[in-house]
Amino acid sequence: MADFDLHELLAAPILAMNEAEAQNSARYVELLEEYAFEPAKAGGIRKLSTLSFSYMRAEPDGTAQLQNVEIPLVQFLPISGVSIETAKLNYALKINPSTEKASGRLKMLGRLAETVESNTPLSGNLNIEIQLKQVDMPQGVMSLLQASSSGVREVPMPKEEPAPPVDVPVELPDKFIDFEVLEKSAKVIAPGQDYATVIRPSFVEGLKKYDAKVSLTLSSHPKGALSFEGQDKQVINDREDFKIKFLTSPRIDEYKASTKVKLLILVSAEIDGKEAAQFTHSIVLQRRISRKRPEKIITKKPRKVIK
Amino acid sequence: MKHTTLTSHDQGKKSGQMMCPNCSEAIPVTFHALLVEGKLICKNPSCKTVLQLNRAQSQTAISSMKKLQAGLKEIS
Ligand SMILES: [Zn+2]
Repeated sequence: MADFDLHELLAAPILAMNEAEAQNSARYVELLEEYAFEPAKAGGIRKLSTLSFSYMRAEPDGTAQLQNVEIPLVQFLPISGVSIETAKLNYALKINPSTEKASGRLKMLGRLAETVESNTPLSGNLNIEIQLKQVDMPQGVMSLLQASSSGVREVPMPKEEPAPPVDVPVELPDKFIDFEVLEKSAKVIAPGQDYATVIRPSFVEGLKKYDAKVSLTLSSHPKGALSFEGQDKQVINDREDFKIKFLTSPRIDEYKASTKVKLLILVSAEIDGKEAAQFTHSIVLQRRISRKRPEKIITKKPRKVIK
Repeated sequence: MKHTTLTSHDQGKKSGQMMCPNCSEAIPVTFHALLVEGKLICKNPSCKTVLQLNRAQSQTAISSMKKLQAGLKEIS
């Protein structure tokens, strides 16, 4: 058996143990990379892989609200390491003091004693007793866990869009309210009579996101065909039935047959005290077309009276 | 049935615990609960919060867990 530098002989097992620990750590990092992160994307930034959960969050006022939470997977991973806690190294050596001098010191050469059957004290070999212990995760991983636990993200459930701030331009569809005619006091209108109709306004989605005040102003076509009770602007609400009362002009029979009498509803929306949009909705009112020809047509040239 | 516990608080580490978002008690996390049942339940009798796993938003993490579970089965 060859003689070894005693220095090397003593250092070799310790170095081997260090190397084993380093390999262990490297494997640890590999496992983390493999399991804890999303695949790498362009730019090389890797996101922690997360689990998303929904639960009912207890609110301080006693109510419960549906909530989403994202928890990094690394929080759950059962990856932990072991390291060498103690190592006992027993050497049984035969020493040959060497005369060689290396770098100014006396070089000691030694060899492991050969194992002898008789098991004398001199007989022996290198005995290494290693005790392993479960270790805390490396500091870097602990920091990652710490960061990821503060990275438990509560994701609010989508709520109704809040009203936009004042300086956001208001964009309303051209016709931001639909009307449904629910009742009419009569199918046709006749001159000089009272009528009533009930309409149900429904605000379109585009309007609902604003806190708008919507009002109606009533008029007619032709002008003066209808006269209304309460001429001013009247505020209406979504899906709240609204009654319109009017009196027809005694002159509606004088209109040409082609003239359509219309109830005109000017709808205006006010947002934050400012006029935001308007449009006119018209409802055509059927009228009884008199068979009797209008007066002006009836007027005949005075007959020549022959005396 | 024996379930592998994923949390590692029993090993004396401060991290690796799943805390109940309502009562802050530790919730046991198992492969079975996550991969089969798809939910975690807080064991605190006065809380019993259910955390329902959103599978669609957790795909990468779920496939990692499946891989890990298969790996652990091989070892044991
Ligand atoms: Zn709880």
